[in-house]
Amino acid sequence: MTLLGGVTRALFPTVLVFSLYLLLVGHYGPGGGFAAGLVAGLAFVLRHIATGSAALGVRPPVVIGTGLLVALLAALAPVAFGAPVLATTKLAADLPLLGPVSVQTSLFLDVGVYLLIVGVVVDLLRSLGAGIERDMRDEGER
Amino acid sequence: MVTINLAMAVLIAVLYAVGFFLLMQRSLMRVLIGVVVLGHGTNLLLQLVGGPPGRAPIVGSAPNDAFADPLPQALALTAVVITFALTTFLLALGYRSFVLVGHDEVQDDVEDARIARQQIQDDEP
Amino acid sequence: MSGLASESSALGTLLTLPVLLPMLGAALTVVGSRSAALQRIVGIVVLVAVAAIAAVLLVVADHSGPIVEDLGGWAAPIGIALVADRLSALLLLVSTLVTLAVLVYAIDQRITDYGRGTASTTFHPMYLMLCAGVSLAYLTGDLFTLFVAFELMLTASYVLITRRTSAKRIRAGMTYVIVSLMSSLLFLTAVALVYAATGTVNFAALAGRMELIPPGLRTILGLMLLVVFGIKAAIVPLHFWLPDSYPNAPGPVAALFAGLLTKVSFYALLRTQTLLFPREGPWTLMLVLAVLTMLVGALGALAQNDLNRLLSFLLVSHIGFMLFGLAVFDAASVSGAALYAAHHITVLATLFLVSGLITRRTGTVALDRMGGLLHEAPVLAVLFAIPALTLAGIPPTAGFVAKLGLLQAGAAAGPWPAVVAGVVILASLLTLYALVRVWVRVFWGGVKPPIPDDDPNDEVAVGTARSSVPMYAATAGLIAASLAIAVFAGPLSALTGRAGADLINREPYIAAVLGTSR
Repeated sequence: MTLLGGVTRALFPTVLVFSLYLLLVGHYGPGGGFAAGLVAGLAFVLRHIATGSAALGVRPPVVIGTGLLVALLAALAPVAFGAPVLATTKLAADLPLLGPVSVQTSLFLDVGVYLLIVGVVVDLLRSLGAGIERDMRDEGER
Repeated sequence: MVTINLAMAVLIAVLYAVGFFLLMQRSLMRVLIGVVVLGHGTNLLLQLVGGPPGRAPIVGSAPNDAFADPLPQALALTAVVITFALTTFLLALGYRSFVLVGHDEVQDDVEDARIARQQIQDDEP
Repeated sequence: MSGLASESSALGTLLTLPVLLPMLGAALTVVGSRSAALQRIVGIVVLVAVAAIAAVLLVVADHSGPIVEDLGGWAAPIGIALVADRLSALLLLVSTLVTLAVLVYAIDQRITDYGRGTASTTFHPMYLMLCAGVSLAYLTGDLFTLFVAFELMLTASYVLITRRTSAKRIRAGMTYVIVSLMSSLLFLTAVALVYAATGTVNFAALAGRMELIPPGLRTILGLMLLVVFGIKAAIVPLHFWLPDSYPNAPGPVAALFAGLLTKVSFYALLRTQTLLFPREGPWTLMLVLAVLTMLVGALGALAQNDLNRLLSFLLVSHIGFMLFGLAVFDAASVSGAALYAAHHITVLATLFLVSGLITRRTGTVALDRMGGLLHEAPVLAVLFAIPALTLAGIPPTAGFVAKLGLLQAGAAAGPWPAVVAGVVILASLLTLYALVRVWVRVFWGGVKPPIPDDDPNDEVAVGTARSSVPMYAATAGLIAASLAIAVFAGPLSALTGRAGADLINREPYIAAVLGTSR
């Protein structure tokens, strides 16, 4: 267990960073909100197996709801600029340290999806995983 | 003339057959695996109907007729997400049934059970 | 905005709101899942807003033709188009009014049973997600988005039917989920094959391309879609799952399912068959299915002792009436089917709500263990009698008005449709007989004591006289809606007449969807 614990300590943040990478390149390369969310979710699964807890700091339903909210607001936002629902455009900016950066506005939708999927996976661990843990505890006592 | 890839066709047929067979089983876990297998079969079918493989369909990156058809890929992605949701739901349902009833088997229709009881009573003299 | 983003119209944006608003409401009710009051307010406000939008869409679509919005500015047939024509706007309006009334009932039942402070993480979000799925199913302009809409709707319904379930009810939930899953996978397969044959999934584009493919292939695709929607709409012999699962759902959920799910499937059947597979003259296979559905449903209802199962069989039976309208396949009969669907949505939801009220009082769904409710609860007797007479189609109720249109269209279409019209009358009489049996057993006879709740922990509280005014008011509101269909029968059947003519003519729909790309 200690080996897994140590590996998890190193892998957990790495996998999370990789999931963010997938989220950001999703428009032109393989990735996107769903895939990135699942990868981040797997990081939580790994931690759950190693330490028995997948605590997120907030309740998973709140993460799911926030993700859905972000995605829907991203879908509705173009209306404020006189474009149809779900329309996308490229935003370009010259940031001080990073230089010229351009993002597709569909990234905001992907961020919402990312949060939603992470929330779903953690919620799944909480509802299914917790019961299985309890069963294993009962088994051990017997 | 567009011809179909025979290996893919056979593979899809096998996946559909296995999937539907598992769907007919009593245990919800087998049903779940059946749904997953069927989902894979359908997604492969979606890929197959998109025509031969080609370049990533980004305008300007290749001549137009070298592109793969992007729509079936989008459809398959959506279907994957939906299958994911249903798989998690079936897992939760199976677990709940296990907690409540002690097993995850799909039981008989009440009406079927009633008719079966009736039959037994009628057969006895 | 650059590139492909085209100018949007206020009306087009309005068209997306019946889908997006309930989703937004679902997100808010999940985030605020600790506050029961917030959940209730969001749910009701969202549904009132959607009903208002649906009314506007109906008026505009009736006045100036189908409204089309291309999502993201990508024109059909490449992008996803939302379309509201007379039929979809009318059914959207009726469905939303029903979901609103059922939500009021459900909220009040929760307050009565568990107190004002109980919030639920799942009920409100899933309820609103189901509404979003229903709206999307009515408004979508392509086959694949229809699949997504069905999945949205059904996934929410899986959760609603199995949440807080008891050992007894989980079995029914499983049957429902597995049968629905199988039909969904068939649906996806059908979508793939349609795309393989035609290279598009947009309804309007498909309407043109379906004529170019070989007739045999076209028939196979049509039959696949018929099986898919046949399972979901509970057409005999694919109906077996319905009387087994709906009766075991909690009262308001059963009312929601009975009112909406099968009718959304019927709408999908009507839309795909009229738009993609037009035909001249009556459709023999569908006539046979209609007869089977009407008779098996009505006879099944006569054999039941369980109130909810009886209503479920009647639900199946009356799906057959709508199938008859589709089978005759002309403007008058299709318009009759549309009017019947609108009537059926309201009356079935009402009857299941009333059944919920009866069950709360008696503590059982078994008809032979009830009795004498006429003296105990006269209001309940009135609430049951009106929708019962409406379902049986006694003049001057909405059921009669809706059925009359179907019968006239059937009688005018030839000898076989006229014979099936006779079966419609027979099925109506059987319905009346089944409902009179319910009346005699439940409301007449000696008063029997309520049966105590055997499982107080599950979602259904029974054997209690506790119920409150809003629960009755919501039921009465639905009855009023059903009476309104009878009162405004003239304008309504004129409206469905125009909708039916559009469905058979196809041109306005196709031109509206594909015209925007020019």
